[in-house]
Amino acid sequence: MENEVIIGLEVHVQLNKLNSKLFCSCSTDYHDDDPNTHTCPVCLGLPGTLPMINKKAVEYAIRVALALGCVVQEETLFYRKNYYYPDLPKAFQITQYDYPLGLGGHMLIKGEDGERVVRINRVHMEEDPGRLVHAGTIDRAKYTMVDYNRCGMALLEVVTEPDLRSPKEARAFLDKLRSILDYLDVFDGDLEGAMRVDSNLSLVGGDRAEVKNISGHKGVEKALNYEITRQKNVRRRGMKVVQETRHYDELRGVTVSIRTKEEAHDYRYFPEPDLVPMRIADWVPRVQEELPELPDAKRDRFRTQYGITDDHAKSLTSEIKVANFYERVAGKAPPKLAAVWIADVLKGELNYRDLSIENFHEDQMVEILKMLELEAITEKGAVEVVRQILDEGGSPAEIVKARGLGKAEDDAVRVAVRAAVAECGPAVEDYRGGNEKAINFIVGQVMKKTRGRADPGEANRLVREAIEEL
Amino acid sequence: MISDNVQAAAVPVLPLVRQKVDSLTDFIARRRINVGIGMITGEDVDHISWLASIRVAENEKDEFVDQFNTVLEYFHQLDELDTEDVEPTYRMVELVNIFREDEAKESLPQEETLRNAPKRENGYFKSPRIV
Amino acid sequence: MLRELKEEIASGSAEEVISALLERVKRSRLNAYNVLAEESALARARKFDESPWDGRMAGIPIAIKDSISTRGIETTCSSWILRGYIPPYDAHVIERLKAEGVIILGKTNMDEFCMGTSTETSCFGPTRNPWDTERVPGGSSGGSAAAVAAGEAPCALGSDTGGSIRCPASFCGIVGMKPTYGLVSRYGLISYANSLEQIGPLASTVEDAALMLDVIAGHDPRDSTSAKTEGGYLDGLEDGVRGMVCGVPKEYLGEGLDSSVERSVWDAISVLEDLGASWREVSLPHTRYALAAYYIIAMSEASSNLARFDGLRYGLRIGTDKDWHTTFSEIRAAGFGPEVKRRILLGTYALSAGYYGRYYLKALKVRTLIKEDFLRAFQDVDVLVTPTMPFPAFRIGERIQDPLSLYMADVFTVPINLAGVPAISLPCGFAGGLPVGLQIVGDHFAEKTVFRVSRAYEDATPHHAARPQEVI
Repeated sequence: MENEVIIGLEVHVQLNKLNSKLFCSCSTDYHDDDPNTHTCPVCLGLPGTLPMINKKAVEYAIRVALALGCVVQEETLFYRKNYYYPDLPKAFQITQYDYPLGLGGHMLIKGEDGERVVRINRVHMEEDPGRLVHAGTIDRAKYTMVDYNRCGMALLEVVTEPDLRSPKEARAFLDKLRSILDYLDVFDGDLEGAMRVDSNLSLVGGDRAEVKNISGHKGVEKALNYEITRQKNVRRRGMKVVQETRHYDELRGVTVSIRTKEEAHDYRYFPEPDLVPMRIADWVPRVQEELPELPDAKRDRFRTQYGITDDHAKSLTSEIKVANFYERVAGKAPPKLAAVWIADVLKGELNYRDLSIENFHEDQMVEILKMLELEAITEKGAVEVVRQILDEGGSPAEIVKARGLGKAEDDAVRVAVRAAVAECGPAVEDYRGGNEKAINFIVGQVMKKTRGRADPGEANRLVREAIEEL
Repeated sequence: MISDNVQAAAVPVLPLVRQKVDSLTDFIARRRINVGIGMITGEDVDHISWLASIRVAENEKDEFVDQFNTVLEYFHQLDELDTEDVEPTYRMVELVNIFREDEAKESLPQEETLRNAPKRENGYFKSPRIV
Repeated sequence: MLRELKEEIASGSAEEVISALLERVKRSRLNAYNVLAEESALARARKFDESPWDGRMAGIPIAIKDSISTRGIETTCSSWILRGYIPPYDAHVIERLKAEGVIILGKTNMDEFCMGTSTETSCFGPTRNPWDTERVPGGSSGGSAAAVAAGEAPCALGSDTGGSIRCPASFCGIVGMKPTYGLVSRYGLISYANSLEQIGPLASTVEDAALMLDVIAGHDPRDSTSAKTEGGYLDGLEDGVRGMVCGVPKEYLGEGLDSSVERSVWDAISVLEDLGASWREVSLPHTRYALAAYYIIAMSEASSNLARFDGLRYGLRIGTDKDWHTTFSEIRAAGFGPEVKRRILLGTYALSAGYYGRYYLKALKVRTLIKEDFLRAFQDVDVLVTPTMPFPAFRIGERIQDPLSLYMADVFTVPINLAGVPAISLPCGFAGGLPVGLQIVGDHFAEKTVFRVSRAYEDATPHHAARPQEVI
């Protein structure tokens, strides 16, 4: 069934690590602020204003284009794309058309059956429109509110060829793209609106529908699965899928038709007369030189250099911060052990708490790994230590001590328990006879033998276990 | 490169002619050569009006059609010129690579941003409904 | 004149000068101003009188065309659609003028969004020509030209897309200069046709125009098309024309040209000859294609530039809101005048799918040919001397109903914008009591040469001193 689907993506990536917008000096740091507080005459499109290109944005765009294997063009231009919409204050979007920045790249993803090469058609720059807030849902709102804080943010549009064969592959593509952008340090994927996806989807032999407004990599599977079901249902009823644009309503999880064919768009592209061409070919060698090691290369190197499994290498390299964390730890502790504990334990605990790797210090991990290596702590104890650090902080040694998680101490308690149970035959019988309180006497003996170092609750549990095992 | 096909397809049969084309016969003859380029009709005006987002009332339409065709006919005198090997001049300055540094500067205060807005609410511009 | 006025204000009272001007404007029926900045102008004048500031135009009152953004002063482009819009920022030229100490009198009338040759398409009604109030002052900067000619402002700024400074300067008998494209920042000039237009001075004398250009020209990091130039337009102003070669384009003289205008231009050429220059005929063979190319480019760019006026962020908002597209379409239908709508709709057509190559791209190629005509001519001559307009000021209402005949009036001015070269219009006589303008065209960034020739001509002739009677 999955094989019948053809998907192409247009991914809009906000270059939100820039300080300022693409064509004006408004700050990009608007996410927690009131509406329309990060705007100026230029991004509001007030009459008479002119755009001026942010040089860093172009450099970031080149970085991404190169990382995706695109050829950066000798000369690149901005165009006007003319259309009306309330989020577009000039009624045209400054974007690229002929002569985009990068052409013809590719990306390797894990596909439905093995690795799949997804061809990248182009990478180009454009300005972000504003944000519409509907009073209710888009098709029922009585009016719409407009916030232009986002308007003019630098966007990169990454356009794939229709090479994806399932919503899951689309998700894999976006995850990988996110990972690369993260490595390139041009993008913070956690910010709202950082990645928005439009998708072309068709069933083999049918017309395609464009699904717009999918926010980020997480929504894509849901949106596309809905669309597949919709198109199949249309077919099942003996009707044809019409070529149209549909809006993904995230709240309701459905796609809604937003444009009809009679309103066919004609964007009347022409070169932006207020900007001059960019000849950036000679920037390429330097930017290429400065490109960091990318996820695929790092994954291969981790596997060979540290002798870890491919799954671990993949998991450790999906985020640059995690990869760097691992490398720092692996320099001071056994790499294989480090891979297990970072990829399988730490990442899981972080995810569960919605925390990032910055909440854990590499020295803490090194210390834990050392204790494990010396068998001074059990695996179970080590997990406890990780959790405690994330929840309440503290150093591993202190936590081990305070919580009595040390393996030696643990053994001492167990010895005392075994001795006490052996010595207190009558109390054991009483307990078995149903006298719950008899247990307290035995625990008292354990406390006496350990000079009070045992945790009473833990001792109580161990005593019951010991009696069960008798 | 944006396609120059319309031009390329229309022109090859025309040599470099620089005489004034002013008679109706000449004009019609020329239009026959330029297959596919018709006069503007009322339907065209409706479509342009939609694209330009300017309502054109029924009673204005005929006048627009007439005026547009007069002006377009005048524009068509450019067809006399063979420009196949001529580079277009997009800009009057031959500058490239004009950039600004990535420095954030202060934005307008919200009140200033919204001051000219005919309708607003809670710090937002208020737009007519979308659908 | 500005030099004397500056001294007069410095030794006398700015407030008196400004009040007298404001009074004159208020009793005038020329309709040169859309908005008088009475309060702020008087306040600034009083401040100046208390503690005068320095600056090359310190204390000098100036009128600003309503296409130029002025912080805190309503800026409408003479269009209903922008009524009430108060910009939160100053155009680059306004910043520069303020830094040199000017006092802004108000905003002057114009053809709506600069689209016209007569200042009749304004939503504020037409401006009248001070030489004959039944006639147009030219356009689109008609308010600025009429104000300067009638003594309602000592100097003014205009903008010129296809002749909008030179045409009204010619019709009103004053000096008006369109600089080389890129010389003056367009930041704050409300765009009509970005690749053609420039801001420039309108003044009573060549020296005044040169001073004003010196103030407003210069690089602006907000305008990507802004050139880096050194200025100094007052230097060598009086060096004369001895040994210079003036080109007279044969395509500009002859058929369709008013005979008195033609005579005035030949007289002017004789004057320059007497001053030691020589002249020769040159050819600009693509001249007759200039109008069509110009209007295609201007309309296409305008259709995009003027798309932003939708009543959402500023300007006119009428009726009850329906869906957004219907609402915008109704606002734009009500807010734009017929000529603006015509140009937007035609420009939309010219850029639309299937027509881009035939119209916009074709026109850009023709622009190349026209530009090459000029570059070729300037290999042999220092300046070109032509009429500014083919005829003197026409009657109000005479041409407005026939768009094409109105477009034809721009035949000598638009090629200059297509080539991006500088040109000035200066008074060179009268035809039937109406001023005639002489156009002097220079090579790219040869403003100094243009001013020098203009000044020599002005010195040798009395035309610039003629003034119309006050119109009440």
